[in-house]
Amino acid sequence: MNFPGIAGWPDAPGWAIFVGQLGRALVIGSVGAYLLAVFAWLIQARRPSLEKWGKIAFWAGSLALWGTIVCLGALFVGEQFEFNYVRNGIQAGLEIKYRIAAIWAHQEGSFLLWACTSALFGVLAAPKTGICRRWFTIGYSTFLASIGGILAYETPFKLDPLIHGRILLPPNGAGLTPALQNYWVVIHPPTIFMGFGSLTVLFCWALAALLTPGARDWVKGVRPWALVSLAVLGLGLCMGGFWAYETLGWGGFWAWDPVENVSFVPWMFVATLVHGIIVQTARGSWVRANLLLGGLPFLAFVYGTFLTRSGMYADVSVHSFAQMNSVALKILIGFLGLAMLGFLGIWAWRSSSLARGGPIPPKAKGPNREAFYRLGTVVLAGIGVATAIGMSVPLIMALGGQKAKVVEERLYHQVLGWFVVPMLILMAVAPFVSWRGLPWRELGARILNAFSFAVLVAGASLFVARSPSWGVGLAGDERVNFAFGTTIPTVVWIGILLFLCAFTALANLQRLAEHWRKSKMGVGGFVSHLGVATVLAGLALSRGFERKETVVLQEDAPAQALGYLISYRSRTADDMTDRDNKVIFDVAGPSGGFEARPGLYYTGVEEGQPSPMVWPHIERGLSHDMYFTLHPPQFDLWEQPIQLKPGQTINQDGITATFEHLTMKGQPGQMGTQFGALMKFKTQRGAFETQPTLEITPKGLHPHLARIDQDLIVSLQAVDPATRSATVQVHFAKPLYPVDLFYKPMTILVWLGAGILTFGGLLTAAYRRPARAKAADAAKEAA
Amino acid sequence: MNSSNRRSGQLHVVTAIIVLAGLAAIIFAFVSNASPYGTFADARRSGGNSIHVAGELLKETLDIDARHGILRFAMKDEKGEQMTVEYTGAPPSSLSEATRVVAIGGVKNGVFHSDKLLLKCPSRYEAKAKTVKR
Repeated sequence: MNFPGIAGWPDAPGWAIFVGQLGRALVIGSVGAYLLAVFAWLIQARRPSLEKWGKIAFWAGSLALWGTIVCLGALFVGEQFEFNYVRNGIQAGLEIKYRIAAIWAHQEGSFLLWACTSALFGVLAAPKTGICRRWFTIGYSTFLASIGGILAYETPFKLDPLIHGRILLPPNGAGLTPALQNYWVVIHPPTIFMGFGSLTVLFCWALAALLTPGARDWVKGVRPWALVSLAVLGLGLCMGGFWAYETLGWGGFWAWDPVENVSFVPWMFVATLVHGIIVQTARGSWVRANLLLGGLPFLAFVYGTFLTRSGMYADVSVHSFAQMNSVALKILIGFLGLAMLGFLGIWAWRSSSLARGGPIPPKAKGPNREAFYRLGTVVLAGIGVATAIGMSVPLIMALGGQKAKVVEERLYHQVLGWFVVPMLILMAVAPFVSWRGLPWRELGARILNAFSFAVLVAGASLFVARSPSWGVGLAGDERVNFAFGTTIPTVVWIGILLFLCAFTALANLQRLAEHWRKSKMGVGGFVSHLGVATVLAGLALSRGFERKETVVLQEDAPAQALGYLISYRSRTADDMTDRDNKVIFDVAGPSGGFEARPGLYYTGVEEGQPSPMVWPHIERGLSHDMYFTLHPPQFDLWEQPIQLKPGQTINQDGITATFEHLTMKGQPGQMGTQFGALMKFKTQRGAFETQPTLEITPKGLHPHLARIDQDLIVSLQAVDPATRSATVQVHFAKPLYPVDLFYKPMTILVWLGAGILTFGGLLTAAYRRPARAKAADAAKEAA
Repeated sequence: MNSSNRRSGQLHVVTAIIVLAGLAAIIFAFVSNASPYGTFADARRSGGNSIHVAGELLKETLDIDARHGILRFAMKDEKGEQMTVEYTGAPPSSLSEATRVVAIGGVKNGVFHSDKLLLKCPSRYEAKAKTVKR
């Protein structure tokens, strides 16, 4: 490796080398411990005394993994740049919260975080698995040993011997990418990885139930874990959407990017499982389906991880994925193949015996809850499967030897719309249906109130939203594409979605109120459905009725967008590398205004490659958000300097420039000597003569800008004494600020719905803890 | 085999057929309507306006008309063909760093018109690339 100034670097501190070696040893130790756990539990049937060692080994492996992440954290906090992973992850002086977050900002760390959260759920869930514990631990340990194996090959503790085997401490690192330096990087990945970790519990429990005779009741034990998984993964998905909304500047929450889908697909399968468990618990049916659904979320996540880490998505995602080390990728593929074929094979082998001998539930008459759940699970699983297919299109094309294709946002909406509409209808109607069934007429009477109010709410919302005074006014000719080339007006489609969301929300609110008297804790399901309807209504309204206008303004030249007058005021920092710098704009509207403070700063200035970073400003309101995206300011009319010979005239970017000849004040080579370029310009404002200069200073050549007219200035970049030519560049006298202004109605519903959804999920999980569930069953029997 | 078992077996077959037909329909819907990746020659041939062309951005040709929100640059596709790309929209950040670009659009009068760019920057960092939409 070649680093400037390497001779002055000190030796890396001994403690850091020790911590790095300890981290490496702990990874290898965790693999050993988990393999020991597998071995001990495998032969535990013949030697029961080994069960204790199996438990100890599982704990030891988990402690080793947690120790590993602590070691890595210590190296980040201590800014130990002699480690490749640390050097590529942070720069000196980074805030401590980002130094910690940098642990999972790259591939190796995200695998470590996945392993740690999985281990946490593993040690918590294992004692609750009862007769399934043996196979649960074997499956779990195999998975964690595989991840440990990946981390052993793709280690975050790699050192570079820089000079003759000596380990030196570089003074700085490449840095955490500025786009990631946001509070969401601190809280979103740990949250969503807690969700991913929880999927391992569901998978291993289902696997263990398949392999353990008499484990038909596994769903009672796994139910609270599935609910926690649903709630935490859902919260993580929402956080990811909020992160995109607050930082990416395109005004949306969700774009169906492969990395988003990798989280979304397992979440849909967990939602399917949770509904399947309800049927099995109440009716004793769906045994085989639930065992399959227990494994699918985890398999889908591992499959998605493979897709995004395989390098196949290099060009089709807004995320950059580092390609995995080939051995590590082979371990991941091996584990995926083993888990997929093994699980599905065992499920197919065991399903025929599981189908026999179960209790036969009494037949229901008319529309009944089981039938609605059946339809609901088909729809939920359909959303998951369809999304998985959409994200697999590049793989499908590659397998067919075809050129790559990519599925865009609108196509996901077109296909998934066919599932979302029935899903919302089922979510609205199913809570009114009983297990025993009821006549259609009675069902109609039960849902009539919610249905009627939903029509009213949707109609009133559309009326209000279409009112010009609210500023929405969707163009009447905008249409949404459906299958077979059909289209419908966007406003009709948004109206349908709004009605369905209102219907679902009102129906579940009604059931919640009716159920509240019986069991306050037992209303979690209704609360969750209310949350889903609220989020979807927020997404439909804020995207469907979104309005956007792009304008360019300057310091003394305000611009008008969406009826608002936008004027530049100032910026908060003189130093444009200050990442807290805000550019302040006054935004004045007919019914009040606000101060927009989008972020703008530059990185790479020291390296001579300034790169702008911008953050949007969001003016939040109860009825709508004003989303203000500042694009990088433009300073140059001519993007590149142009070399001109004496007497040469050019037309470039709407102006005519003629270079007359070079001038000089002073002696060549002496300090203070100025070279000038006498130039004539014809601009929209008239004809002008001017002379930019270049002065010899102790720090090198210093350009003095010359004004062309009130809008433009010119700089002399270089002179060539041999040809008497000059290299000049024309700039704006004041920078141009391109701005996108979005009007986004009812985005508050997205935030509100996410909170309601998570609360509902956690409430249900708490209510469905086995001890509580047992007490509730006993109370029911007594009644 | 009694009639109940036979009915159950028939139901399973029908369910399997419906599931497989559904899967086939979803795969067909996605694959046939997905936006293709290709070269400038493919874009010229297809006449479509959502072709994804990946290639090298030739920085010296970069020309930004910020007042009108137009960005022009020359791009070399995977086959080495060079074409002017005209992007409509605000100039994206990280443009100066970008080495590889995916331009989404279509060819008209010998120019590739795009309203969406995917920029890939050389990775000092390893994080989100920028997607820019009009």
